[in-house]
Formats: sequence, structure tokens, C-alpha cells
Amino acid sequence: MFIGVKTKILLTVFAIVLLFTIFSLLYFPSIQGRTLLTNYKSEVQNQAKTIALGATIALSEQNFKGLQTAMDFVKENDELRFVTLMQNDTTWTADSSRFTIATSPMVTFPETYKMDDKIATSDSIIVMRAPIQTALMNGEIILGVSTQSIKAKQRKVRTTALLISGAIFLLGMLIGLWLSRSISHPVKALRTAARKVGEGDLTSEVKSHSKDEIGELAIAFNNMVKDIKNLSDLTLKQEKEKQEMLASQNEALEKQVAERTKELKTSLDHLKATQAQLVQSEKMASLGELTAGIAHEIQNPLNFVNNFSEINTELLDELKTAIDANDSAEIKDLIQDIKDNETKIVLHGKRADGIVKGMLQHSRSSAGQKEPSDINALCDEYLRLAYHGLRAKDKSFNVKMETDYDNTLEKINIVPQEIGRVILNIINNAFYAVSEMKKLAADSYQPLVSIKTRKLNDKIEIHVADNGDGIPDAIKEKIFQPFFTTKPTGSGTGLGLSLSYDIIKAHGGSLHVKSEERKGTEFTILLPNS
Amino acid sequence: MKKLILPLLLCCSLAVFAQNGALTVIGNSNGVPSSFTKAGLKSVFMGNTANWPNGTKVKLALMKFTTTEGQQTCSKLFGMSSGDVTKHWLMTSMKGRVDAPVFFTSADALQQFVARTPGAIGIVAGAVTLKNSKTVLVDGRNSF
Ligand SMILES: Nc1ncnc2c1ncn2[C@@H]1O[C@H](COP(=O)(O)OP(=O)(O)O)[C@@H](O)[C@H]1O
Ligand SMILES: [Mg+2]
Repeated sequence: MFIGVKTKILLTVFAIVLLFTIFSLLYFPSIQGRTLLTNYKSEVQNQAKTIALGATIALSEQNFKGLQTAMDFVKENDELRFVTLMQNDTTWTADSSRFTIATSPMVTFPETYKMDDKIATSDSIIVMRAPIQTALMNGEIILGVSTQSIKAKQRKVRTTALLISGAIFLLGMLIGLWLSRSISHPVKALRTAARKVGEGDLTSEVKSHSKDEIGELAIAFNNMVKDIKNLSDLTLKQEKEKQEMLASQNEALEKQVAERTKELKTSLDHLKATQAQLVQSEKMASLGELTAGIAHEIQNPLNFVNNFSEINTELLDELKTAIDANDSAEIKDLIQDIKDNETKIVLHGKRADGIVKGMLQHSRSSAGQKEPSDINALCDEYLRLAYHGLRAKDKSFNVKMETDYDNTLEKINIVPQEIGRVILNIINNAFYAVSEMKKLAADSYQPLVSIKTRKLNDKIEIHVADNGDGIPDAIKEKIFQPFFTTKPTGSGTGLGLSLSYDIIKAHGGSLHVKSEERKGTEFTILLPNS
Repeated sequence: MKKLILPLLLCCSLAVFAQNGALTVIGNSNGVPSSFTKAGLKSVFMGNTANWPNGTKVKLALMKFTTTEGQQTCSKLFGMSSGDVTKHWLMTSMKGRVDAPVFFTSADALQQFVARTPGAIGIVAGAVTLKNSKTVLVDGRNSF
């Protein structure tokens, strides 16, 4: 809870003044009242004694002057209730051996007053007794005085006390107010100024009139603000200089950056062009491999066609001779052979026709439309294409190939050329890996590339495994990056796996690799079964 | 020496008077009536009269009861013991309606008091010798 200086001072002064007021209101009047009462009592006692003395003198010397004076004096008091002269009567028993003393009122002033001889001092009356002992009689004077006047006096004292305490309280509060104001005003001014300074206004100054610690504080504050202002001016100036310097530097830098950016842009453009070229060349490379395979495929039937055509030409010559010799049996045999050969020629021609048609089909649908495709057939086709492509380049290359196709596979919707290219690329990489291994391994090394398809719940898997040189762990992360290759220039572009990865991803599938150095590699293509 | 002897002689002569048993009532010329009945006189000396007929305040003067005249006054005028008279006046003066009598040890002093105090009345043994005072008759006689 926040309590201001003003409130604190006010509360303190209030507490002190209140204490004092309570003192002067309660303690003072009560003491005064008691003193008054005590004094009055002793006065009454003295009066009683004086009367008793007067009576004693009157009785013993027949001088009533003192008694009368005393009585006159007492009677003057408006508060007098009664004065009674009591007489002790001594009554002896018959044989004069014992006596009793009976006290009875002899005279009372005023005479109308009904005296009760057991009366004692109470709240409303003060009763004082004084003995009288003379030869003539024994007794006492009882003086009763009302406490009314003393009460009035006490009341007066209380009223006075009340008035005085009220005045003191008022004065105290006024002083407190003045004090708290005179302290809190400059303190508040200081606080306001301090806040302003905190907000950055360094022009604020505290006006101090009081010649005390607060005044000194105000002066110190003003000095401090001045110092801060000087310091901040200096800092500002330095800051400005720095900023100017920075601005000029910035300008230069910006110019440099702009230049660099321009340079970078040109090199980026270059790079993009180069990349496009490279992608193109990778495509060309795979096209080359493909073309080689296809050429081989066509070559085979063409060879048959040529061979059988040549044989038929020879058989036709023989037929001519047989006709001239009119050897009908021979003629029949020859015609049959020619017919058989013709059948073979047609067969192989049709085969070549089929291959070309298939090729055309490939190139026609190269726009990349998805169509239901038989994955097993696709794998087999590209395996063969790859093998023949390789063999076209290197006749000595030999590899054992294993296939394991899952017959339950149904046709799935893919772009066959693209998936074909992925398979081709992976198989080509595998061929390359086993050929590299052969260079390193013992003569007993038998290169092996296997392809396997499997159906999972909602996916199909294509595994391509080899027992080649494997991929070192250090580069396993990098093989899917574009342009990453470990092959000598001309042999690889480093784009095969990168493109394959993108193609599989575009089909909603994924591409994984497992490899152990010098043992082999297995690539797994996962495609959605749909 | 002469000064001592005179009061002594006076005392002796007073004593003779006392023995004779004659008391004289004297009064101030102002206010005090010239004659009383004995009962009236007693009543005055019992404090029953506050003012004389002309309004002057009654001032009583008596010889102390320790003197012969005082004793005689008690027996002759009040018919009470001196103690009872004293008690009576104690009570009366406390009531305060009238002033108690002034008591004297010498007749001379009493006479002087009566002479100079208006309304004063006193009882002595002897004659009036001073100015402004007179002998008051009791039952038509000079003394009782
Ligand atoms: N079957 C594999 N066995 C060993 N290394 C492989 C195999 N497949 C790919 N790699 C490694 O991955 C690299 C990247 O392959 P790829 O992206 O097809 O580019 P490229 O074949 O042009 O080098 C290859 O250079 C090779 O180091
Ligand atoms: Mg490759």
C-alpha cells in the first residue's frame, strides 16, 4: 500500500496531537477535579474544626465570638447543607460500674434540616466531623456541605480542558497540515521532476525555497539533471556523428551489395542455364542408354529376317534347279523350307514391328499422363533395356540377373516413362557398382543384380539390389542431392537419383537406400497401390 | 503601684456587693427600655429578643460565670446552672438568630462596653457610673 509522505506526517502529528488531547481531556481534568475535591474536603474539615474550636472556647470560656464568626463564615457558603452539634451523653449503670455513651444531636442549623447521624461523605455531600471536648460536655461538630459547587467547578475544568484540547487539536492539526505540506510539496515537486527526467525531459527544474535537507536535495537534483543533460547532449552529439558515419558507410555498403547482387544474379543465371543443360544431358544420357537397348532389340529380329531372307534366296536358286530337273519331291521339300523360313521372317518382322510400335507408344505418351501400368512388366522391360544398353557399350560385361516378381500385383496408376526412367537409373547405378567391384574384387566375384516386387497393404515395393562396391556412410546423405556424383566426368552427372527422388515423390511414394560398403546396395521404391 | 492597687480595691468592693447579692441591670441610653419585668429580662437574656422597639440591635453583656456576679446571675436571673446557660447559648448562637452575650471578667469593662455600645444591656453588681448608660429598673426596682 502506498502512503505518501504527507499522509505519514499528518498521521504522526495526528497521533501526537490526539495523545496530547486525550491527556489534556481526561487526565488533566481528573487530576484537577480530584485536587479540587481534596482541597474542598480539607477546607470543609477545617471549617468543622474551626466551629468545634469556637464551640470549645464558648463552652470553656463563655466567649462565643469565635463560634459566631465561624458559623457566620460557614453560613455564607451556599453549599452548606447542615451544621450539627452532637452531644455525647454518658449514662452510668445503677451501681456506677459501667457506662454507655449515646450520641444525640443537640442543635442543627438550619433547624428544619432532618439530621441523620449516620450520614457520611457521598457523591453529593461532604460530611466532616470535629470533636469537642470540654469539662462541660463532649461531642462533635458535623458539617455537611454539598458537592454541587465542586462538581460545577469540575465541570468547568472539564469544559475548559475540552476547549483547550480542542484548540490544541486544531492548532496541532493545522501545524501538521502545514508541516506535511511544506515537506510533501517539495517532495512531490521532486518526484514530478524526477518522472519528467525519467521520461526524457531534461529541462525540468525543481524550485526550492525551503532551507533544509529537502531544499538541499532539490538543489542536488537540479545539479544532477544539469549533469545528465550535459552528458546526454554529449552522447547525442557523439551518436549523431556515429550515425552520420554509419549512414555514409551504409551507402557505400549498399552500393557494394547492389553490385554483388547483380554479379550474383548473373552467376545464378549462368548456373541455372548450366543446370538446365546438365539436366538435359542426363536425359540425353539415359536416352542414349535406352536407344542402345532398343537398337539391340530391333537388331535381333532384323538379323533373323536378313538371315532367313538370304537362306530363302539360296533355297529359291535351288528350287529353280530342281524345277529344271523336274524333281517334284525335291521341289516340294524346298517349297516347304521356304515357307517355313517365310513364316520365321514374318514372325521376326512382326517382332521388330512390335518393338518399334512400343517405342512409338513410349514417345507418344511422353507428355507424362498417368495410366494403369503393370509394374512387373515395366521392371522387366527396363531391366532388359538397361542390360542391352550396357552390353552395347561393353561387350565383355557380364552380370547375373535375378528377378522375383509378385504375381498378385495389380496395375497401378503411374507415368510409365518416368517410373521406367527411375528403374533404369537405379539399375544402371547397380551395373556400374558391380562393374567397379569387379575391378577390385577377386576373380571368383560373381556380379549380381536382382529385382524384386512386393505388394503391401496399400503400397507396392520395388527392390533393386546389387553386390557392388556399396555407398560409404559419409556420402549416403548426399547421393540424392543434385549434381552429387563420385563418377569421373563423362560417366555421371549426379542427377539420376535426384530426378528419381523427385519423380517418386511426385507419385506420392518414397525412395530409400540401404548400403554396406564393399557388400552391396539395395534401393527400395515405395509407390501407393492405386 | 497605684495602678495595681486600684483594680484590686475595686475587686474587693465588688466582692462585697456580690455577697450582698444585689444585681443591677444597666443599659445603653440608645434603644434599651428603662424598665423590665424579671421574666421579660430573662427572656431578653435567653436570646428571645433581637431588636429593641426602636430597631436597635440587642447586645447582651454578662459577667463570666466564673465570677461571683456571673454565678449570681445564673441563679437569680436564669434559674439554671451556669453550664446549662452556656449550653443554651451555644445552641442559640449556632442557630444564629441572635448574638450570644459578651462575657466579661470585670464589671468595669462590662460597664464600659454597655456605655459605648448602642442597644447594649448588661448585668453587674454596682451602680452606673458612666455616661451614655443608665440603670434599668427590674420590676420597678434598681436592683434584684
Ligand atoms: N548401386 C549403387 N552402388 C554404389 N554407389 C551408388 C549406387 N547408386 C548410386 N550410387 C552413388 O550415388 C551417386 C549418385 O548417383 P546418381 O545420382 O545416379 O548420379 P551418377 O550416377 O550420375 O553418379 C553415384 O555417383 C554413386 O557414388
Ligand atoms: Mg546414375
